[in-house]
Amino acid sequence: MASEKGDIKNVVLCGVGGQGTILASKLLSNALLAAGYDVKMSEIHGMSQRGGSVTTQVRYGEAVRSPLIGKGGADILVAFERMEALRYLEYLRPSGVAVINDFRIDSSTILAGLESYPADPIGVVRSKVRAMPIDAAGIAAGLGNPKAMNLVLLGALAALMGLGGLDWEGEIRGTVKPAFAELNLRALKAGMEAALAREAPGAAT
Amino acid sequence: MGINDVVLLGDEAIALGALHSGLGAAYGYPGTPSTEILEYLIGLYEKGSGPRASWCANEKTAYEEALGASFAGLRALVTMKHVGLNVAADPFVNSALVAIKGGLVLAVADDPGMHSSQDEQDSRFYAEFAMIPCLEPANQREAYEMTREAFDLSERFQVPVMIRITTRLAHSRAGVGVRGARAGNPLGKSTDKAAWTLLPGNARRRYDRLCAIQAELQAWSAASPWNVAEASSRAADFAVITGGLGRNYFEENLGDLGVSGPPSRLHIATYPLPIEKIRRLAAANKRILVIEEGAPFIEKALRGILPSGVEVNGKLDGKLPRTGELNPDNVRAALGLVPRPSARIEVPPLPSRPPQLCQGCPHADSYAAVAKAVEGLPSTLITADIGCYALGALPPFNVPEALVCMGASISMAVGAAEAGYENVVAFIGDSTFLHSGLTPLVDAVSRGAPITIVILDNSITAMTGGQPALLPSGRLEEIARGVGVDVAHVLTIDATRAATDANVAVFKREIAHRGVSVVIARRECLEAIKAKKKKGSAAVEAAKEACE
Repeated sequence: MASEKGDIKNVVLCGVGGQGTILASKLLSNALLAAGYDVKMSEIHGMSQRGGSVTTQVRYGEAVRSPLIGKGGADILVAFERMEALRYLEYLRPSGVAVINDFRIDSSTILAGLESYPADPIGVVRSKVRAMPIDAAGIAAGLGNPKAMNLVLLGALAALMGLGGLDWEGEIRGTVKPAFAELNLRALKAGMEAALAREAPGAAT
Repeated sequence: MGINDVVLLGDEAIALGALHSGLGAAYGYPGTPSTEILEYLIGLYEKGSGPRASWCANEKTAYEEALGASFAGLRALVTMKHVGLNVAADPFVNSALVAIKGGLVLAVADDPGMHSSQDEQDSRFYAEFAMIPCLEPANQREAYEMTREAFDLSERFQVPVMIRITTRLAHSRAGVGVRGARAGNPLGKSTDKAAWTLLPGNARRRYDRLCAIQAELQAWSAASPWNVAEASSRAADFAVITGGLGRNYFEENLGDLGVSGPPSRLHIATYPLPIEKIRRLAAANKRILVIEEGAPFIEKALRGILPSGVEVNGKLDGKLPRTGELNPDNVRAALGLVPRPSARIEVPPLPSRPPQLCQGCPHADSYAAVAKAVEGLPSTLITADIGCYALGALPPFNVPEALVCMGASISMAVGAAEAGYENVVAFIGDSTFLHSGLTPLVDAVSRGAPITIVILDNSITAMTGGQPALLPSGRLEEIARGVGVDVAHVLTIDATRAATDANVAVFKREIAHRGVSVVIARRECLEAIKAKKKKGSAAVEAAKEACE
């Protein structure tokens, strides 16, 4: 393994079962592996996938040992849902960035009126670390299918981690149905652009 | 071959290791986090590019079918989750006494933290109990290599060999370097009839033999290069023993151990425990911290009962949590390191987000109908079983009151009804019914127990990712009638919201019936419908090819 792969980078993705966090993580892992990184991706199957809170972790670098990231170890947190950003925030290091899908999914306990959705999760995150809300659902809907929001978020992640140059097209075409490959590629690019626009000097985040 | 030829889940690395060992047959029952081992092999088998690989009715039949293949001379793999080994415990323990012919490897995946399980038992105890070797990989490469070694060991010592993994290895992906495959064994049954017919006289001789080879197993473990000892130049005050993923979390924190430097260490990956290596480490250190995934198995052996002069730390003295998974943070704390700074914010407790039945799930409609049917009834008692429908115990349904293990819905209902409860209902899925529901149904029928069994027939094993049902859906009615349930009380209903009123009426009538009723609530799983639509699509093909 080439030593220029350097220090281990840590990515935490979180969301709600069914949002496509595992697919996004798989695409990320495979693109990194194809580029020569050592990668470990940890995911949970089974019961929690049924609409529960889900998280996957991706670690990459020259040689990765632990499949899990410790608290304060993540360089970037990508929350596919606002409230889930709060749940997993402790995994982010203080200098890290939280990409948050500006999207709300009420849990069964909220729908049943037993608990209430927290006020302004994005504002709370922003009070502590750099937060980058992205209207991934809106962007994906604009491209024709709001379900592609996971690719928009993957695009933002790729751009912020300096991974825009990986062979995303190859990975997407090799994984996704041909009918959806174009949409997914456009969603990925839109996510990259959205993140880079925020990164531009003077842009408000 | 390169160092990272293929990217594999830990589960898949075991499957590929078995395949390259000249595998002749593979059997299993799905269970998180073990499912993907056999799924990988079934994928190859169905394409005609691998040996027989099949899901079975339960872990016991799977184990015995693998044992039969081994008796016939072939190398056989059997897969299950930790609690599945309870079901297969009878053939597992007894198979240690026969003279294994074709290598027999049991791959069992434990679920510490109970991500998708009802307990977190540690399968290493089973390996010790059966007195057979166990290998515990800590990464995907080791999973591949150790599986290959396990087949060799099984044929060399003529005993089954266990590969024990845990959730985070089973379900994390990494690159694995693969080696050439070897040919399978020719068909040819064992001719050692006395070793395979466990009548008391034979079994005594075989048990003596099993006891006698323990010294050889110990010698193998003592010499195994998987158990790596590294002495440190640090003062001889503190050493670490790691097991399984504990090693990875320890190494993750190694860089922060600072001026005192890394402690001496021993990683243990083979069982029986490599006693000499442990003694050497203990002789040179005053204190040993044991970091192992699962139960305090190594730690307990180290502590013993009599004082040894070496302080042992781990899960039994609270240095590490007794329950749940290891992670970089709790290992960090056990090493005396302060937590890393984090972006943690003190916020009021967040609303929970428990898993739930899918929107429109047929089980939801069945639960709703039964809940309505028992409304206002005295002396009700409702049990359920293992599967997606276990989520019916959570809001908004809150229907089942007890849920313990595969099949127990029916047997517990029988016991409760015979104890005196009058309106007793048992929920069980179609796959779970075939797994462990038939035998308690026989009990119920033989004594005319007044219970209503609701078989939730969605034609699939949904919770573990949608394995097809073993028998055609319509067979359930025939089974119930064949066992002897009165034909008037074997009923099939549509598990739909539109049929709620009719279904409530059926349930009310059957619950009032003072004998066994079997109501089959039928509607195909939404996930199964989705999977069918997807089948044959490029996505599935590409994913399968990527796994080859």
